[in-house]
Amino acid sequence: MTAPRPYTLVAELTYRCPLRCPYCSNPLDWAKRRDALATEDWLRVLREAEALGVVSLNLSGGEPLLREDLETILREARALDLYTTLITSGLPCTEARLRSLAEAGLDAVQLSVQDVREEASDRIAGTRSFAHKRAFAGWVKALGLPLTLNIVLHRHNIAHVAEAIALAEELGAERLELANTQYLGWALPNRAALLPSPQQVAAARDVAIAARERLRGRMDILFVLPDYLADRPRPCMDGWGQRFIVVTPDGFALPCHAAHSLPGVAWDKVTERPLGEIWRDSRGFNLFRGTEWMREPCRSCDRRLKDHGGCRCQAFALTGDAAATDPACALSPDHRRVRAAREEARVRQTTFLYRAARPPAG
Amino acid sequence: MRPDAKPRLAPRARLRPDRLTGGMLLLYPEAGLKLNATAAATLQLCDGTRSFAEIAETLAERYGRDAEAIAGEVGPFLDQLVARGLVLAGP
Repeated sequence: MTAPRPYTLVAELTYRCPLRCPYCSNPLDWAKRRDALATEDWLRVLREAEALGVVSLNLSGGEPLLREDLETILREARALDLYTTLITSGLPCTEARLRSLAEAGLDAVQLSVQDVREEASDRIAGTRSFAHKRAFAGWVKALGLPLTLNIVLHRHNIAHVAEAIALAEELGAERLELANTQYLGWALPNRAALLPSPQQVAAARDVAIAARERLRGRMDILFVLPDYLADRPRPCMDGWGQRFIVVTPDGFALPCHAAHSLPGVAWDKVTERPLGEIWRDSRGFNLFRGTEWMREPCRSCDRRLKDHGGCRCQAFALTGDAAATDPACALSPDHRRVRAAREEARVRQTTFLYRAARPPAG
Repeated sequence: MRPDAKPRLAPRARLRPDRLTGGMLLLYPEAGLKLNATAAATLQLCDGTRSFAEIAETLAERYGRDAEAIAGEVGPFLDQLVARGLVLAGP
């Protein structure tokens, strides 16, 4: 198969993070995975990605601000004319550091908040952080950098969408991501404590749509429906190996940030094989590329080119079979697992399991 | 787009060549657009000093076409970018 052109490189610079959000998308065993790539490795990865056609770079993690070589990486990205976005919790950072990042070539910032008020936000983050985040947003604006505010939505904050929009306006964000939790990584063991009700989601969506009209031209509002409640899968990564390359802190090149949760695939490291070869020829990137791998009901479905069969990692997490139709789809023979999760979330009130160095037991 | 509006790229949008295709790309936070030749030429003229009427005239000359017809095609494109906050056309 001819490989498509990748547009975006997601560089997960480290899994370390000062926050402990219970829906973290990092792997459960993140603490065992050391930062394996030296500065020179990252610079080479950027050059190899650009040669493949990548034009935008997301610096992510974990918390990318923990990398002391961020400025060096940004200077290389600028030399390659990549559009670079820092995806961050905002800490640890000073105004001087942020200025040094802007001078090195940073183009845009995506800042997370965990809720709209200090106490609630800090409770989800598992650490004091909200007050600092507000200051950080002010520095971003003072430097003239575009600001996206990101809030991961779940049962405990989805009722605050109107206040989230007001906060984004107050902070001067040009873009607001209201992203419902994706139930992978740490979010999966926390699912019963996080999954909102259909009524909560519908109300939040109405608020977001009304605000989108009101703020047209001033702020983009993105509302990502939770696939658990949508009866249709999300078009994960715009298709496997289609537009995105993720490089993890331990050096693996992946089609998505959770792909190394899939068993039986020997993923390639960027230190051991050229990125272009991994993208075009590796078994992992070709496993679910296109539609050939699909079975029914995906194979004959008229949405197969839109949703690409949904999320492979979710299919594996819920059915044990990575090639199954994503159970979020109402047409999946395993859709009952998603319905059962909704029912479990409705009746069970559980406390959070915060992200920690050790994977959860069981 | 009003004829006297002076559109310019928003600071968060960057126009750059596409090394792979020789075309132009408009990049902005977490997304981007591949531009056709007319769209690229239009945005290259959106520098905040030229009015939309002047831009349409320049394009008309370049492509040997009627300025009004060009404005009719390019205006809606710029309006869309204004609605997405990628082009500023205010005072």
